[in-house]
Amino acid sequence: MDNINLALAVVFSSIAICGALGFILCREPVHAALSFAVNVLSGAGLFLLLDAPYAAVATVIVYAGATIIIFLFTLMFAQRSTLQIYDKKKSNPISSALAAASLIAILIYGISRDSRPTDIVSSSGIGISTGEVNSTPESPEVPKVSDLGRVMYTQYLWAIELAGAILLVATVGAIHIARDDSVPEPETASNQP
Amino acid sequence: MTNLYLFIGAIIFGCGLLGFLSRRNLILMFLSLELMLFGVSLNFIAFGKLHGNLGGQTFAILILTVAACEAALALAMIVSLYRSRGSLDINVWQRLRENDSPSKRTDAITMIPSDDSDHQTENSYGDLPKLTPAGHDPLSFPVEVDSRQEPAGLA
Repeated sequence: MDNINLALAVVFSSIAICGALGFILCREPVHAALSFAVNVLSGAGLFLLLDAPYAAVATVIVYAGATIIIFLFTLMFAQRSTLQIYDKKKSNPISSALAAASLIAILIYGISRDSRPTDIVSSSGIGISTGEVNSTPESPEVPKVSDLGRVMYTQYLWAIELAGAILLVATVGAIHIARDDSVPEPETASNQP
Repeated sequence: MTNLYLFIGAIIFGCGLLGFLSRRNLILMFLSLELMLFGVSLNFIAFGKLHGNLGGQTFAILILTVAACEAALALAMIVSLYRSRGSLDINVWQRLRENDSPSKRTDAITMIPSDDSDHQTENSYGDLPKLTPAGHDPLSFPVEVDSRQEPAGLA
């Protein structure tokens, strides 16, 4: 079972990295968006392997669904059929590649340097006390979605409410920003009783 | 084993950073931001599993919410920016820089020409507000306000 998990993790990771590289390297914006979708879908597979099924499904819906669809709509609106000059020529490719490579190198060095035990449920003392979820740290059973919901709506209630408020504000703001002020609004509603 | 996920998260974050720095298309820069957020949420879920609690998943879902908000707002802004210049090139907007900061030679093409499209005075587009340069004493650097555009009640 563990070997299967490891193999699946390696497969999903390599697909995710290929997707990320394709996102960087593709010139066509649509191809880059599809590479982004590949990356996100395989990342959702990684979420499943990490016992986070709700996050995986939400990622597929929000990232690979909604974001890509909105992206394609904007692209249809704004992109011309041929490749533009700003798609062909990148800005500062060498220096930005150096910056990103050094960041990745620093992060990987920092992660691999950490010598603490990384077995997932081996040490029961590490976990921060989280109320009900960690009450049985020795049991190897995976947390269910209902546990996640219980934690979200008890311990992290204010964060979830804040996220809802942010969503509302973003909706109103997006409608306001995208509205074209130069076009006069048709006055239809004022005549009706 | 968990280190693998942390590595993947770091690599995805770095790819997003590289995309953000090197792309010139506004929409693709925004997608690079989404990629960076995705790498971060992968890290959060891996840490949550490592510590055996569900805070990491909750935080990843929060990041997902913020990413959705960012998608809506950023694409609304991109649509409105595209409407005013007719191009998705980020270099078109380098006219927003300070007057004395160095100009970058660019091949950016604006599809909708402004009033003074012959580039004689570079930072004087009609639809941009005229502001005092940052970092200067506003009294010693008065803004040359075009008298035709000045509102009558201000004087």
